[in-house]
Amino acid sequence: MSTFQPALNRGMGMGFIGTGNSSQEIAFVTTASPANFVAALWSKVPAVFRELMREPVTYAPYRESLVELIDVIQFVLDNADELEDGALTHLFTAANLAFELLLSRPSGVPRPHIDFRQNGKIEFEWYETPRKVVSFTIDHNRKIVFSALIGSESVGGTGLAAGKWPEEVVKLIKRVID
Amino acid sequence: LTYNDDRVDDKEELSRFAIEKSHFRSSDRTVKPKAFDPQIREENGRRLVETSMFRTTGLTCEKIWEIGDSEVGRYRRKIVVARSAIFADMVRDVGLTVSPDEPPKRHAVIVGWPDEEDEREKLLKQLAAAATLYTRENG
Repeated sequence: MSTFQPALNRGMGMGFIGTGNSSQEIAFVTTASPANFVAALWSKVPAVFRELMREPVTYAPYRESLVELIDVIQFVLDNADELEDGALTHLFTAANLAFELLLSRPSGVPRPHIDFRQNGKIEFEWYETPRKVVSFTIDHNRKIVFSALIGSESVGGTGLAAGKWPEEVVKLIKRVID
Repeated sequence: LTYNDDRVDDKEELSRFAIEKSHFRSSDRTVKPKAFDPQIREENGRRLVETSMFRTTGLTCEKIWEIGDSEVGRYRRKIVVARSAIFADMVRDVGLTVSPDEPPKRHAVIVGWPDEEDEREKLLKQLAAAATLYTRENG
């Protein structure tokens, strides 16, 4: 039986620490460093990971987002020339931070659409129309850059991913999805 | 419109060619902000922040895609799948500048991007909202 049990409340890095001989032996545990998740992605585990995702999991609410994040990473791996020089390494670090953010998604905030930027950032977007949209990027230094276009109102700012989502971002998301 | 080497007219259409489907939303056929993401590079000690565009007013669909293939797709060894079109005055309306930048023929750049990332992101969303998507299939 595969296990997939990231724990939110321990305040520890979450990661992908073990790869066995088959997908059945892959385990998600909470004691790993983020770097392990990066390493797992780097070694092209995502295909196996997707298989794991089809298993009954204990963290179903996050499964689709994680699959989407992994798909983004897989796409980048397959199309590395899309990125600026040196951005690939940064992207993997950013992906790991994005993964942590997904697991701490505040209540009332729906699943984002996940994408990447050519400078190695991961982007979360909530979209209704071209003039009702909010997104933020996260980079390898935990820097969050957010922006929203709601009608003719254009707002933006920066923050740091430090355990919880910036309040201003959450408010903007709720305005867009309302 | 008369094609002018020295300046881009307000009513000229500019096209940003895409080789990636992630630059647009297939669901409602809209342009994503990242389609206009400027490239940041150094040239002769200067930091350049530019979005590469092509001036496509008055051209047939065939000619437009031909430019995309020869000037963008060929260098990336990929097929151009779409273009995001926007009029020059819409770019200027958000406070950015459009300038001719030849060669290659018909090349132009969007410049004047702010240094602050969040300000750039705001402008990207405004450009995307003003742009029209043309995919290879629909011309």
